[in-house]
Amino acid sequence: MSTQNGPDRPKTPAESADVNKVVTDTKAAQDAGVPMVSLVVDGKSVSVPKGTLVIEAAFSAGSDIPYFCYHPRLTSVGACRMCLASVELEMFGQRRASIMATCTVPAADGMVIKTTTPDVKKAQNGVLELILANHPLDCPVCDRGGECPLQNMTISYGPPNTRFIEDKRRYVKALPISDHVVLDRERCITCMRCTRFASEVAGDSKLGLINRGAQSEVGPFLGGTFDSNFSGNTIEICPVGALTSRQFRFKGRPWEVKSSDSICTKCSNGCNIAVGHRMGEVVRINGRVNEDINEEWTCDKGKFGNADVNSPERLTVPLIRDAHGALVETDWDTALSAVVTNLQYVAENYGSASLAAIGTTTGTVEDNVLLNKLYRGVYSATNLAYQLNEAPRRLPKASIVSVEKAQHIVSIGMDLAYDQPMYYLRSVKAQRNGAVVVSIDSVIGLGDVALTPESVVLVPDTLAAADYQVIDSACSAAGCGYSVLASDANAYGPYLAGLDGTEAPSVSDLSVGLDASSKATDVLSGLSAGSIKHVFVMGSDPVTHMRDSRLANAAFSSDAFVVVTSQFMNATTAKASVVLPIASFSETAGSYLNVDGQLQTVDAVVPPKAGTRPQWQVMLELNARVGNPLPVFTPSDVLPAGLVPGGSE
Amino acid sequence: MPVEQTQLLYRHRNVPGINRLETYVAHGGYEQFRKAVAMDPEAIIEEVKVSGLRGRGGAGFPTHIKWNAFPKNRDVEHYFIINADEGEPGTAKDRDLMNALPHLLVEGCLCSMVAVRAAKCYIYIRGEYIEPWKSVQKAINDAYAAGFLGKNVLGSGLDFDIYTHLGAGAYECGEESALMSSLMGERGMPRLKPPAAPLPMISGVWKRPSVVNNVETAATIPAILELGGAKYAEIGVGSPRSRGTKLFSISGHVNKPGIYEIVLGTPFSEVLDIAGGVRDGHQLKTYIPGGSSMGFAPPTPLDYPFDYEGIPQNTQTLGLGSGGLMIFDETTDVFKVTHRLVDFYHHESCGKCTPCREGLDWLSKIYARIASGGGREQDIDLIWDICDSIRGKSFCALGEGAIWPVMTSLRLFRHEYLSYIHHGRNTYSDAGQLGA
Repeated sequence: MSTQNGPDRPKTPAESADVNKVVTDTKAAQDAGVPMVSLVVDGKSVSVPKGTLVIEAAFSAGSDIPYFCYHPRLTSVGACRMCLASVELEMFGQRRASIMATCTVPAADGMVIKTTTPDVKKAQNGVLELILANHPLDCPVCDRGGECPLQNMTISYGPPNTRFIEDKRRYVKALPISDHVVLDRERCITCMRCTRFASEVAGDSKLGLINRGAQSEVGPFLGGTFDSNFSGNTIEICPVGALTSRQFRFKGRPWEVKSSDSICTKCSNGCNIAVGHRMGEVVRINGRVNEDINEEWTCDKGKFGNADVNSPERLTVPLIRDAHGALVETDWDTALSAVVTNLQYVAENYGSASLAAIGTTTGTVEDNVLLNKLYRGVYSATNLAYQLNEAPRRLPKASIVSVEKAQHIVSIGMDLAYDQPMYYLRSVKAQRNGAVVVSIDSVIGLGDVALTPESVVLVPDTLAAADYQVIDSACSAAGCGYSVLASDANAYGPYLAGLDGTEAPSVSDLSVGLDASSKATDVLSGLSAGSIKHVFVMGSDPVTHMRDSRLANAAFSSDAFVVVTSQFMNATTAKASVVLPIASFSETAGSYLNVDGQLQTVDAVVPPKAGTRPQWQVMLELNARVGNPLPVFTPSDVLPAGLVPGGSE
Repeated sequence: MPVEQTQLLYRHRNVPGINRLETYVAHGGYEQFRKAVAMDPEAIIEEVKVSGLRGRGGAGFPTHIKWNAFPKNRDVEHYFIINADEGEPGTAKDRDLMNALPHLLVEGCLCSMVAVRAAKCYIYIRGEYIEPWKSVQKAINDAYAAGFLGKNVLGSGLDFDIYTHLGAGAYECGEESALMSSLMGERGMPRLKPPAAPLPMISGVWKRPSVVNNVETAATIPAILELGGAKYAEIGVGSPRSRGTKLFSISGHVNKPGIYEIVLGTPFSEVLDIAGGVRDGHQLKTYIPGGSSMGFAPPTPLDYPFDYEGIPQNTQTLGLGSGGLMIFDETTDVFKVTHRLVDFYHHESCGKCTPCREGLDWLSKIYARIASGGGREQDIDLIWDICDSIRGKSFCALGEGAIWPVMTSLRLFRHEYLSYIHHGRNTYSDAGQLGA
């Protein structure tokens, strides 16, 4: 069996990400002026910032050291002992080389590291043989097979055969420990990455080690479940197939799964994800590195919730209300003709004041641009809204990254871990550094919290207008201000698309805050009063999401012609005149502005589900049908000038 | 002319009621504490330094070096921690000390606390040691009542508190850093040590300066203060680096097994005589000098200084260890003894690092197979290789300690292994008489 090891060995994506992280961290520390230490790795001199671990210094020097338990975003434990190398250093006045676990030793001046000597190889081989002794070689039926660090290291570093002839440890295989995660204790090598993730990153300690010695196993305590909103990450950092995804289980081998970069749109955080798809079907979501947003983590809503793109309940046929008042299936041409006919009829007979549209805060900026071109551009309509909530329109004072450095964090009226997962993860980091994190259910509790000018106050965008006044006065008095965190993936995208009627809208306007109203309440009042005869609701569900549900119900029960685009049936589509089935986030290209104002652009990952169309194409066609053909081939053709997407690598 | 066995710790061991405060005080108890509390902490450390006292728990690290690493102020709380998690097979000296002389331990703790400027002391007692725990806790309660513990003790302006903490039955928690984790309510697993982490004397339990000392080490401090460091250092007939007396738990095939206080450097043959010699009609086959982790020693030489330096030099074992001397005569089946020890370490491995967790699991399976007649000749090389994969590669000393009895038994008694492999039984001993 030929083995290929050293720096050029094939690496799994996770391993490459680890090395990249180390290299960027090293550079960042160097730029920040951290004192440097010099050491020699495999005959090559290298300078690394003080505090760097020897294994990281070796990566910086271009050497390769195998490892399992080391992870650049977790504290070192030195458990797996795979990263053994010869470290020569001076201790107690003597200079001597010994084999050490390089993930636990900080680099120091004058160290000499050797990673390829026969002694080191023998030590690494020995450890790998021990790790494999009890590891079931069920790679052919393991979801991890093909992207498994243990498999990879075994091929690169391992002994080609085993001398272990005894019975291996046996456990019940495939033990579900949560709605999303399956545990296979036979495969576990007790590297403690998942338990460290649970206590250090997720901060909920929902996984721990049980029993001791060779009987050690990971699991939720006392028969509980692993009900963390971040459980999915443990699947990705597991260096074997001990933790696997119930959703992806047996859905395909990793090498059949293509990975495409995308942005999660389940909430406003805009986490960078890699969508895994096999034969045009999305099969799994992995985290992708973006240090400003999600580092490399995802929440379970993003990781598993996006499976709804494959739901059989997706709308795949346009619907139209027939003469008997029932919604019936129709074809795209009929549906679009009906929209255009009504649009032209209302415009001619009642004037543009009778036209209205509600932009999308979950779709792309470009969707909104094309909506604006149709209603404002062609018909001069001004009843254009997009805001279903009562929150002040302003980007948060505290960015995701900044929360990590905060000393006092107050979250009001939300479950940060579920509602703003990346703010939550940063607050855990802050807490580990000594910050006080307070969570209160409603503004009623605000009086009990001692706010200081340094307090970071995080507020959802779903409170009542009066609540914001209370928060505003409390925070102004303390001099700390507060941050309204949007819920939707593209809360201010419609503003950037010009739906407010602002000339050359920019992200910096949003930092200051917007005054003019774009509240959907105005449109809904017009609808229930009968002054608005035609409304285009793009990708939202006001009947469900408006605080004033009585108004929303009345508005959509009026005689007005209601066009709704949606992926699923909901309370608003149920009241629509025409329902247009649209493509999901993974099936459409476009740009999103995340909660703290980072604009990110993505491409479509898979073709739209049969029968659905991307929203921008629907709008393009409607524009063309009313005599406004646009030279647009991709969404980026309509991205307003001056908006420069970034973030997404 | 046998070495005169000065008794320091055990001087009043056999006084009836010495475990009671009045009796202890009547025999000069707490006098050294009265002296210490008036002394400059540095002066105490200096006495300990001059005395040459080394840790009595197993590693033999000079006590004054640990103490000197403490910050020389009381800006933050310091913790003095007693390791009473005595679990090393063959060792029972701390149990006897705590049962019979609990006030000696309390006084030792108090003197040490003055030296390291600690106001709080935790005595981490092995979970199975219910009797010693009761004994020590009673002594602590009585010391509070007598004013040796509490606020402003003896008008010194210093506060002293001692707490006992019972473990939950893990050998690993006798490891210094695992003990500290366990004390804080964490899982009893070892933590990173220098150079990967700061010294416990800088950042130990609850990130405060802490030191972990053995029961016997602390109990020796009053004697050092009484004699003076220089006088204490004169005791000892062996190596200049092994000074004073040490408690030995002598067990196995001797006529008078028990706990003995022995002057360091006493020839091994005399130590054997103190315990009444190998049981009548039998000869010494092998012995474990200092607790099972030290490994098996050959029956010769016998006349060498039994101390920190003499043992490793003359027996190729790890050394003096915790002073658990186990004597085996010719009836012993060394393979079976080793098998039992391997099972012990396998059971006690905490599971943190791969070599110890998997290596001991594998070893225990191989030993079981050989014992049941399924051995193969290549198993001997395999055992040696597994030991090699553990040696120097495991996270803490548990793995290292586990393989010494294996490697030394293989080196000295390979023929017994081969006997099991070829004949399915040990033809060199009568295993039926083990422990008879």
